[in-house]
Amino acid sequence: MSAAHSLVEFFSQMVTAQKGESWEPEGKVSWVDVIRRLTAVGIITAGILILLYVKARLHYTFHWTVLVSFKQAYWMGFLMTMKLSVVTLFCSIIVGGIIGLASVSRRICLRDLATAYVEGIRNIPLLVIVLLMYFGVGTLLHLPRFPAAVVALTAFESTFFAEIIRGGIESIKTGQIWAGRSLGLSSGMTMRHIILPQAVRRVVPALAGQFVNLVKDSSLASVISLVELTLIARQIMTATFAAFESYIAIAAFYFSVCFTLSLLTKILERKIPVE
Amino acid sequence: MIQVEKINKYYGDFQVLRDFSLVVGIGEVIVVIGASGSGKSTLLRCINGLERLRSGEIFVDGVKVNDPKTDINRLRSKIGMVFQDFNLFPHMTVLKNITFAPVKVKALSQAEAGRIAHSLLAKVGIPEKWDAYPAALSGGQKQRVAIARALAMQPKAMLFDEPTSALDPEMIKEVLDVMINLAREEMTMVVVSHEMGFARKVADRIVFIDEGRLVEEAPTEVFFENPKHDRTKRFLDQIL
Repeated sequence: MSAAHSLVEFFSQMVTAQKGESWEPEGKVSWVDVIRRLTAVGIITAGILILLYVKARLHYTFHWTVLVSFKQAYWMGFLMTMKLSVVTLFCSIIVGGIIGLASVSRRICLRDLATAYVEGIRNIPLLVIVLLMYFGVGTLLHLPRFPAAVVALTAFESTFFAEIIRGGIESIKTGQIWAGRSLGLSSGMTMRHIILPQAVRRVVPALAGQFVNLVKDSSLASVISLVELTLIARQIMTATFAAFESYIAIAAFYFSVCFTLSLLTKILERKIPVE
Repeated sequence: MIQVEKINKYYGDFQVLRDFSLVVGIGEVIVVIGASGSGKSTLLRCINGLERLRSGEIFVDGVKVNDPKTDINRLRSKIGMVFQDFNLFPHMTVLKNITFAPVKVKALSQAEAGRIAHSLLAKVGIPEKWDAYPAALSGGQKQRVAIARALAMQPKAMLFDEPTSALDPEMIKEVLDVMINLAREEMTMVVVSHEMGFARKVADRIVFIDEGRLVEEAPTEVFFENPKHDRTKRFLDQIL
């Protein structure tokens, strides 16, 4: 009883301590902080792995060495995943930017179009969009795998970018528009030079955060046989029957990329001052 | 200089200004008072075309404000506006805040605009702050920069929307002093403010608005010594 009680106590303290921490006044991200976070995640991962290992051992022998002979393939898959993610990021920011701007436009028809796009695409599973884009549209237009994957992912991710950008623009006080317009600036100039620079600064962390999601979502391109990380893992699994090993390896790949990115996002969040 | 003729302004179904008329002559200083929500700030935004009217007309310097054919940006560059919460551009230095519009709208050279900016900063008493960002300034300094920014367009009239309401008491004077100097230089000014000391000192006329209507308008002396309407008397009792 008392042991259970102290355990609860311990965890609740941990939670409150972490909450307090996140409201710390702004400052530099210290290395101690980074190391602490890394250690925490490391401990959790190690725990899960040990559990898995013990459990699986009953019926399963690990052959980690198999992976070494496929390191070239993993590397290729990793590069493709990164290429897909970065190209999609670029396209999504452009498309998302346009849609985001349309959704704050004074013209009702533009706003409606933007809403229709965002709502339409967001409510369809990404997997379906990818399949539709490659096997449907792609077949008609003779679209190769990579462009088809980029188009599908861009269509999906740009809706999130659009919403982030819209939020950023709407978060700027109306007074800034009045100030710009009352000085004789046109509405376009006010948008370009006054509102957007402030909005972009505000949404950079959120955009970076969405990039993490994008990297993870890119694994769905494997269903149209684009040779990226997830497909590589599947191929290695079929060739070697080393299911755990091949998938745990790519899990580690995804994790290290996404975790690094979210750390960077955190740093960005603290670097950008809140007025 | 400014003619407001029977304007009606609505926000949705809510009527903010009712048949409101006002004439401001060249070099005149008008102080507008009234309870919050009475339509004072809306009036100022209407004068430089930031709000659409349901009916009525506004002329500034002989040009109709609420006319689609009017080059509203050109007209606005002749009217300076100062806001309650400053609305400086936080991503620009003080100097850039002041020079941005003259360079973009009036096509002044950066050097010329900079020269004007530095002299205006000296005029409002903070010449040393030219390369600071707004976040590093006190409220009073921000408002003085905002005034300098408006003046940099060399406007023919200035609109002040409760310029001291967001300031700590000890900073109010530094802003009012700048405005008093402006009034002495014969700038046409419409000031929404509850600084009665300021009003008595520089206003030519006081206008009292209640629920979007012009209740009373009189030369400063007369307004304070001998208000006609009961509503005005009650309001003055409350704030004096």
